[in-house]
Amino acid sequence: MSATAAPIPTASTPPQAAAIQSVPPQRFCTFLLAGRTFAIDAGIVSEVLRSQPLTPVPRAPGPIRGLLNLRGRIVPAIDMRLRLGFPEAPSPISPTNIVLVVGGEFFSLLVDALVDVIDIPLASIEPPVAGAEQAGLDCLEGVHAAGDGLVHLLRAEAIIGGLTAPDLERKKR
Amino acid sequence: MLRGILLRQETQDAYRQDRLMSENEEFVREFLVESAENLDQLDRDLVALEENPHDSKRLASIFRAVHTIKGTSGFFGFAKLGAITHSGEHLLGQLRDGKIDLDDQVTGALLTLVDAVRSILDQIEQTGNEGENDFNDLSQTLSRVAEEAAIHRSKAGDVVITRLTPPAPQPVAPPVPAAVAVSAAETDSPAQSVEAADSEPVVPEPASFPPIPAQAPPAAVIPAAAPVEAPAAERAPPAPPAAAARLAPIAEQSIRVDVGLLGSLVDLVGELVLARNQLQSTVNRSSATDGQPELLKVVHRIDTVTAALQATAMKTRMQSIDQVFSKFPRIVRDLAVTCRKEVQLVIDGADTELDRSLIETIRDPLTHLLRNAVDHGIETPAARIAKGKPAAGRLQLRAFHESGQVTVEIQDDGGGIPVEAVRRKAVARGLVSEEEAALMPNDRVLQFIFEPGFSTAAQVTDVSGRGVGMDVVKTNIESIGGTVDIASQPDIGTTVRVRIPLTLAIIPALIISSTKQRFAIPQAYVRELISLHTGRTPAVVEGLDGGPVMRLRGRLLPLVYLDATLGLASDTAAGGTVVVLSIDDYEFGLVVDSVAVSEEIVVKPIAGVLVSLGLYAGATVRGDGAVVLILDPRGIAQAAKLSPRSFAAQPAGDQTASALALPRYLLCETAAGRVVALPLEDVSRLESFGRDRIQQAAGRTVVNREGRLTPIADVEDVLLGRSAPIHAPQFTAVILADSIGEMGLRVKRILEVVEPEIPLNLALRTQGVLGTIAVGGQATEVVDVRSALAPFLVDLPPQVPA
Repeated sequence: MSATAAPIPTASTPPQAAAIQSVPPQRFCTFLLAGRTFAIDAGIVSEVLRSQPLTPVPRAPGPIRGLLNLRGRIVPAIDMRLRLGFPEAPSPISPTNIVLVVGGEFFSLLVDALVDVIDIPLASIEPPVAGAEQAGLDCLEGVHAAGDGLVHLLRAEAIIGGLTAPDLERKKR
Repeated sequence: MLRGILLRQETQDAYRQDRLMSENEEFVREFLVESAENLDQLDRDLVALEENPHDSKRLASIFRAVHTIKGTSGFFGFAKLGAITHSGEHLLGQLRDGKIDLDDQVTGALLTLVDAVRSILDQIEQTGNEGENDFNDLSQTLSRVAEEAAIHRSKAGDVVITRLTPPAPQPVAPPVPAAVAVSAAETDSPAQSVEAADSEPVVPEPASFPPIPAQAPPAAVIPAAAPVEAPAAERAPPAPPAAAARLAPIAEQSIRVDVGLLGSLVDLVGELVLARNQLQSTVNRSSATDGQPELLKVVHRIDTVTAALQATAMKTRMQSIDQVFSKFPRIVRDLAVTCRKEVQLVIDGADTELDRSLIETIRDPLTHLLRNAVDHGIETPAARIAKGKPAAGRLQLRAFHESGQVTVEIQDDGGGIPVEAVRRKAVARGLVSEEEAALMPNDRVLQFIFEPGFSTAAQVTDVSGRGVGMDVVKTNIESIGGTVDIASQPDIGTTVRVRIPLTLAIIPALIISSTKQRFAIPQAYVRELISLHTGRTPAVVEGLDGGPVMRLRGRLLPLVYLDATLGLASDTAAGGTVVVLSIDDYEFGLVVDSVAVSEEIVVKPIAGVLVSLGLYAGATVRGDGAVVLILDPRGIAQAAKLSPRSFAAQPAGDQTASALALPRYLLCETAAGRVVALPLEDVSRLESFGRDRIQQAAGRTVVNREGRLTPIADVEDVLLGRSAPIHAPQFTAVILADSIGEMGLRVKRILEVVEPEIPLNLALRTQGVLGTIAVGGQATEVVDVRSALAPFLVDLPPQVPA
């Protein structure tokens, strides 16, 4: 493709507007896991599904609960409780699937429940406090203080990338 | 490679200016794509011409390629490109008219020209203009070579023959009009274009470059045609240089289609296949179709059409490996010159087809292997002569289909890899202990060169340096599920064998279950099925190294329990069926609970994190929407720590030779409950048919197998020598091998594959019975499958009656 491509008007923000608004807030999906609130960049969320039948993958890293059929696409489902080191969900909970696209591949996060979609100003995100929240520290990007508690921001690449980490391998059932 | 269909839809567009710009850009892009292909062809042709300088058709092809680039570059106002191609064309004209001979210098100059054109095109692709380098020196070189060669020739005393042949239609004016003529081919007589292109250069041209009109003819109409059509003609088969007149129709019959578009087409067909499966299983299950023959007919029609559509769509994924191979003659030639070696490259099976998505992946690894072979494998001419070999090394590149895979072999007749040096190096690097290394067979030792950074020339003095980047080659090939093997003998040469899966998106597979979970195994790897539940169960014994093995026709077959290998909790005792799998160096029995069915599955990719487990080749979605993992037999074998070739390596001694000679039989139970045998060589596969695929036609039962109607006879009826329709809503049938004919035999179930203790006794031959074999001490009738076919040899309607 040549660099002198025809100028096609795009929907992106005009540069001057970006200059005035310091940093636009980012949109996040928030969800519950073992009573805590977590958030993930809403930009990479493709859809949210109710509990789906899963095909287990023997010998897969522990948090990969199985594969789901997303209209013919095979999507691995990651149990976020296991991924972040929480105890397994009590059986009555049928997890919600938050389907993400990370690096061109689809993944589904199994969470207790979807809460909301919220805007969080990037300025209000604080770095994770060491020791404050041990669970899933490797995926934690930052913390946002919402009205009634903390929202833990997760980084999708880290969730996926850390799947093959040795300590998770050992947790295999 | 970039491919785009040139679809210009006449939509009313507010940004007319934009569109004109982007259209022009599109033309330039087309030009770049086409030229890239032409350049590849040029490389090939020039190298071929060097071997056979008097191949006038090849020369004409080269001429046309250069000419097309020249003409089109003039059209777009690429003056530098026009200038050098013009000089090149002049040189070629001299060559073609027999004024000069092809020698190293001329070939070298022409190849330099190809490189220069390529670099300008790269420049255009990246920046939109031709860049700073003006290539004046190249133009001069080309002109000088032309003159010098002519002088040299005159001095040599040869008569300079001026060709007088060029026929009537003199071109009106040089370069650009020719391009226009080519473009006109799209709508007018195609022959005209080639003629024009052919005859034009015969006009004596001055050695210096006449200004190419920078201004293109009126923009909108003609330009599209030139890049689209003309080079398509140039692409015509290189091997037998087709007569000019034959080129045109090919161009008209093919269009450029975006790869992404084809990809989504195939994906959609995959979805359709799944939906079809779902529809069938729903119709089979429910009574919805009772009393509704119309619905059944529609379902049937959908099935037929889907199967045909699937087959057609899959073909669009296939591409000949020539895409990769075509670049190699040039690469090898250049390399040989650089290394001061003589290499004869022999290419075989360039028309072997494989999935397009794999073509690009294998390009770099194969190139690397070729480089290795020339650089390190083949010796210098002097060394070769000293060894009594011909001065020119032979490098053979061979591609062929083999049991569901494409194999590419790169074989050189060079010095081979010094195994002892590799062995020492492996010990030195701590990869293996000295004792182990000493015991290791040579072919295992050679595997060390695939270790990352194992042997670079600098590190290993004795080793020829082969091994540089071999780990990368292996990684790349394995990333697409392929394998790399190497064999080498001192002074005989080295053979590298690359096996690539066809990875057709839709493959036949066996659906098996183990601890209630279902898995798919690609049928290509399945050799046979053995039931562990019948009375004649082959004994499962412990092998020498503690692993379970099974005695199979006098040999020991290692067994792998799928549930244990996958870490599944096993609640069934000892498993039910042994699936004998064979892949490359592994042959083993996979013990599963049961075999469900054989069906066509759509291979879907799975996430990288799961691919890296090495156990699964992908996944598929079955008719009921369930996801089923596809097992990778090689990965399973490796996970079970089988050693390669252990099957062949452990002949159990006693009766091996004689046992192998006996033909094998498939034992089946008939609907009436008796056990009969079918010669295994006459059997193609076992299939189940539901009511939607069964039809009654002309008093016979036929089933629909992907659009083909296959008559089915009950084995019982065959034995009774009668022909009768089968009145069952669903049944299982053994489909006979193609060598026998289009026919299936209905059986109740398959028992096992057996080797008779006593060979076939033909004396006991009767109606429908070929003879008798003894199995487990029991006389068992062998069905005369050919007699079963007899009543069906009357013409059957080839298509489904609508």
